[in-house]
Amino acid sequence: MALLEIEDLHTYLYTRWGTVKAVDGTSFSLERGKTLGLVGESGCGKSMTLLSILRLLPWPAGRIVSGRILFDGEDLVQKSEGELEKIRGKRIGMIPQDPYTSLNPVFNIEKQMTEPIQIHLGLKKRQVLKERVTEILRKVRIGDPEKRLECYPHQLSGGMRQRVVGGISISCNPDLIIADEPTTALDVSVQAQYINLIRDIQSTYNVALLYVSHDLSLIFRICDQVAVMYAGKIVEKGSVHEIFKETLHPYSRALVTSIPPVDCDIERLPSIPGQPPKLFALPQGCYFAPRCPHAMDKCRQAYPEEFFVSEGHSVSCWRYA
Amino acid sequence: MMDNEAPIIKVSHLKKYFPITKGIFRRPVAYVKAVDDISFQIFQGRSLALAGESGCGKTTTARMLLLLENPTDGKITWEGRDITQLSAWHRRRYKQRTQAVFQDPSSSLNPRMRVKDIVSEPLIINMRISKKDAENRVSELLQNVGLRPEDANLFPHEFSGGQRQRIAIARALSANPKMIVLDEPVSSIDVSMRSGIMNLLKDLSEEFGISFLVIAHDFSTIRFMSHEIAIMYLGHIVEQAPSGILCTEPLHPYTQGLIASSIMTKPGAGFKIVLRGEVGSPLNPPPGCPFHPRCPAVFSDCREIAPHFKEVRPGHYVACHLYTGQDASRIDVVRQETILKLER
Repeated sequence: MALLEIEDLHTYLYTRWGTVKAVDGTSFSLERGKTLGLVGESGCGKSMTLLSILRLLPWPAGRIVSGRILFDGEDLVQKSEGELEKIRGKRIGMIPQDPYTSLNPVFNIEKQMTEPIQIHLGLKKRQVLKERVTEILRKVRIGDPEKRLECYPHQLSGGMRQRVVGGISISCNPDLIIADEPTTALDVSVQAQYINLIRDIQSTYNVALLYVSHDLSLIFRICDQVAVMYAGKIVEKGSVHEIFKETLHPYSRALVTSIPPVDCDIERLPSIPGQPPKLFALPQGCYFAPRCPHAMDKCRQAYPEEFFVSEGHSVSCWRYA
Repeated sequence: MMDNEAPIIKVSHLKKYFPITKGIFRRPVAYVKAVDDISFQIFQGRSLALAGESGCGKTTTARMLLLLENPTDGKITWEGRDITQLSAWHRRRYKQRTQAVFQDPSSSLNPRMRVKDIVSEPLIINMRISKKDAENRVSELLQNVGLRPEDANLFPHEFSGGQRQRIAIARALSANPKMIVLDEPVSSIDVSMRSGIMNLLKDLSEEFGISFLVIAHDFSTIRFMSHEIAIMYLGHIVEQAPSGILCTEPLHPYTQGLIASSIMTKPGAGFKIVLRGEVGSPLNPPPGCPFHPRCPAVFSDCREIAPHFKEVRPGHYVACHLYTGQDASRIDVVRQETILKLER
């Protein structure tokens, strides 16, 4: 059984301007110890999917309308707040996007790292806690961990802060880590270090990783499974090898080809006309049809079903019907 | 192709040190060497990219070119004149000829101004044209950047990120510039809209013969956008070459590390080459070569002597002790040896 299984999830935001179908019938599953990359542009619903899993949707606008989120066989949608508190931070770790805002500036690293361990694992003795967080800091490759514990977040560089955040996410031995674009605020060379670190931790401790990014090439580097999201729906998913070899959906293909190559010259970039649809005024039929170079009459009438092109590789596009 | 032509901008031995002051007399106690002795030239219709990680001085360089910052030392020459010594008239003309497009169009456009006012402001300031002519010019400019003339009456918030960046480009174009500084022009824009913006900028450069100074950290963008790339590290230019050569045969270990992390060969393999450590502080740069604490091929000279920026192949400059005194035929061997050291 998969560790995380999302079945036909609908998360809507009820706003002044209308109902935003942020997540509109998303399904995917993630096995224990595997990595899944969720790719999409801003506003495609990927962050709302994460927040739905953690049940941290903006209140009162955001609501899970229907669908199931099975985590280790239990439906998170049905859980009470008290039950969720035992899961968040303990069995599901989170690495947010920006290490500059996710750490509290008025507490030192030791305080911030020991808090989840105190709460979730019930450890009390200062010395035991200290040894444990020193060990974690060593795992995330922070040099001189004893000294760093005394530091406040502003005394650390961006890369180091993000390592601390990563350390907090694994401190209670979670089964799943959710990472929301953890490297966008980091420098290029530090980004490569951080990605390799996450991969090492993930495989050493056999944790499942749900990695969200807008950068498909980054996802190709780190994940076993890929799911591409557009306007609240998953348009293509499959194993990284399948999708890397043959990217089928016109949108995911556009994401690949619209990034110019570094190792050869090209004159012009293929570009997608138009812009992502507004989520409270979705077009009829396939949501990508107005921008799609291959759109047919059928595309403008009905949203395509999910078609399986090979074992574990599916695409929602009428061209593969 | 351009040897017989004079550059439109010539930067020589440019330096910018920011003092750190202490006490009531604001006595400087230390300097942040943001830009430390860099030289380059920009030719008509050609684009140069300054690439590097945060804190390498690329934005400070751009700000000096835009007269937003005064150089500590060195010269920026434009039409034979030093831009810091320009008369009021020439200064105005320089500012008209040198425009900028910034990273985040949602903060670089005034939310209270209509598009037509944003785009025509440089026209009215610089060209003193009538209101009617300005209106015609605005609709022409909007069409040039792929927007509709009707959009002139809207406000910036009514557009998507990509369209806002197009408005910023139209504003930069309105005063007929010779050079546009593009500071991370696509990094805050959605992936599916980036390619459209990049194509547009390239077309405009060809159509109007505008030069770009592209500031970016992402190699796929700069290779596509520019003819030549200069890599900066802690205020120095460490390598410079035509973009094709720099991206396929990088010489400096720093460039090699950066390029390797932007080319993907096999899915699911992570990053094979990773630069160690983090960028040092420009307040207290390491002695010798600024990159030596992170360099996998470091040897004794690197820790003491700063390497000179030298032409090791035609058009390919590098500041690295590995290549000093090497015979032209050995350059490639040294390059590959360094890559092997990086892979370890």
